[in-house]
Amino acid sequence: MTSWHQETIAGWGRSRVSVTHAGDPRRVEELPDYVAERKHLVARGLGRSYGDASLNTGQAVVRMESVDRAVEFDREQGRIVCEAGMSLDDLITITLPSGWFPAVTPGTRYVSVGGCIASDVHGKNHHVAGTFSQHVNWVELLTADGSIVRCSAEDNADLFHATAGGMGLTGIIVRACLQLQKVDSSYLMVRRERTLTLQDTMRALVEGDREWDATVAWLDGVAPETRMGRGEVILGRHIGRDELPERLAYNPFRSLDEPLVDLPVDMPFSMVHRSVVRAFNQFRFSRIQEGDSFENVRQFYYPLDVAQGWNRLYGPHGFHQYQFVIGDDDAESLIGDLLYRFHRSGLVASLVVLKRFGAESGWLSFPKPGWTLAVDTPSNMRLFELLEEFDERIVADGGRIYLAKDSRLAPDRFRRMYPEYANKWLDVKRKYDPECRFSSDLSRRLRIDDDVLGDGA
Amino acid sequence: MIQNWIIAGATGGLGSAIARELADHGCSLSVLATEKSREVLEQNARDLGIRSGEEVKTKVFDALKTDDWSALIDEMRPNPKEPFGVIWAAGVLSPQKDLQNDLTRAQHDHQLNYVAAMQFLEAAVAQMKPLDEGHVVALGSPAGDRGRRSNYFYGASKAALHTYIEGLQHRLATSAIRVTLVKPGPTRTRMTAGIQKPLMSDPKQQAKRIVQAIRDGKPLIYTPPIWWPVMCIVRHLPRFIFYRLDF
Repeated sequence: MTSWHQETIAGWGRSRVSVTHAGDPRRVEELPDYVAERKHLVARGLGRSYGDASLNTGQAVVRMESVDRAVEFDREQGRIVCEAGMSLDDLITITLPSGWFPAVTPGTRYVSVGGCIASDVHGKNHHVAGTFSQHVNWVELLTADGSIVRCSAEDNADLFHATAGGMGLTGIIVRACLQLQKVDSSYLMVRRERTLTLQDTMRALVEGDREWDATVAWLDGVAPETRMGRGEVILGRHIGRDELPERLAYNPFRSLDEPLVDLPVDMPFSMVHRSVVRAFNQFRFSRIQEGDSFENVRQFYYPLDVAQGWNRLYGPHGFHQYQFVIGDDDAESLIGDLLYRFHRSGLVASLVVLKRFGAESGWLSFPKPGWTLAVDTPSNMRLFELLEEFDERIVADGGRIYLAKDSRLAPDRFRRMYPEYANKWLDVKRKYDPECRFSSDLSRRLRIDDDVLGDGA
Repeated sequence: MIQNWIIAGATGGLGSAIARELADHGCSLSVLATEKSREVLEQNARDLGIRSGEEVKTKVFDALKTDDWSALIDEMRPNPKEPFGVIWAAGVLSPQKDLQNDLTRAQHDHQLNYVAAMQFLEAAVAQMKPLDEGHVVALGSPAGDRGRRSNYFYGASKAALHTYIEGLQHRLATSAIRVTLVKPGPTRTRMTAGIQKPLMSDPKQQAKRIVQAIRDGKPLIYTPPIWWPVMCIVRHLPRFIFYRLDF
């Protein structure tokens, strides 16, 4: 028996709401019925993609929140089989006490395993560990004909490569087997450095990448013109019990703390005003504690998880996160330009994060060698006009935009950014889903549906 | 805290979240659910077993057709030397209009929400008596604090549960058996699917607060805590205001 409700949902950026039929399956075995009952649908995990990837206006989304069980956990080998709706928060709760941690984790633990695979997310350790799907042993996918297909880099490899980073358009990921990384404690040795210019920040990150497993930089997006690109470079590596000071070593696998603040209601207007951000950033910048310290995985990887529902701070119009990657040669001038233009246009770059990527992997996966910048900004028209211009520069320089964050990229630019889409991905999509049953607001916006069904269909 | 728990209604939104939270604390669980949730129960049990590292007992039961509650508890509890706790998390919330039009259904709801709960908890307490140790937990609702036209059938069953628990607490005040009544505010579960209201709580967060209250041995909690002052006001609103409100 299926259960559908008409609901209004939004992406994490909340800049657009979408009325949709939401299905709430409880078991993997119920899912074929959900697929059979709707013409077009897409799976939705914990709704952390920023744009329109998990929206399906007027059509259907299948919420995987209740299909989130652990199926098997091998404590010797560090392999876990779980259902796709399981959050990384739950996963870590189960595995960390035995000394296992996700090999790759994004900046929040309130994401589902299925979502991590579909967006092929990356973390602060991309330069050494690659993307999430590179640590997935296999995936079980419910395809358009109602059958469940197991695929991996070896078996049904075409389906696996199309599903990793495939934005949920090849089917519904129902289960996955993940290879975790061994850790000897839940702590990292962390080094923080204050940097005064963009050049400075980038140099520190390049140097940090040589010795540290996890690297990232926070930039002050509203700094005065002369201090553009200043920020904090954060470097970390997992450490064992023997390296911990006594006060931590007695309980080396201390569990994650709970969120401290919850914002349960929508703000009537945006709290993210330039003056607020400037004061906050000034405070944060001046308080950077340079040098080495010990940090729990939660402090290091998930600083924003202390506040549940922080996206509501941006008020009724929501915010947009612009994340792109650009080759080494063009990075400094383009990033510098972007910060300058934001400043000049009066746009509030409330959160700016910079990181250098390692090797490219996958077909529709976002990371490729070079620099990635993510900029959060309250949504407004001026922003979107400015981003059009930067889209063109990025595509001309061989860069790309992250689909999991996107809600506005033009279809032709998408095709130029992701060449494997036309070369390989589309063939697999046509093979497994010729009627384009799995579609979303994102796939329609990028005209993927038109490609699958043939023009004019 | 008690290490062995029997949870009735362990496949519901809150029941399953509480079971998980207890399993994450390493508790040994026995879980009960109705026939229509049999598969969910079995799959949940596997997940709980991985979390707790303990074998999980499962049983399908029909709360309205159970005659021998004592035998049921006897089957699900650990060996007689070990203390155990029970959690009543079963319940049903039907639309008020449906119940007004179909009193048989209203009777059914009351039997599940109150009568079965009372029988289950009473039988459990009887088995806890020899050890004089244990913990009884029931999920009530702020809806039981004052009857409102939008859900007074549901509210009445929860009010009955409240009064029953109060009496039980009085009776066990001098024993080491603890009794906790939890009154969760609206929570995002299947029970409330399709109802779009602000201030809906996340079941996982609710479960964390509930398990914390169990560990603290609290007699009564509202979760999230904001519902205590809210219901305090609602309870004491003069009628001439209350009747003008539409909720």
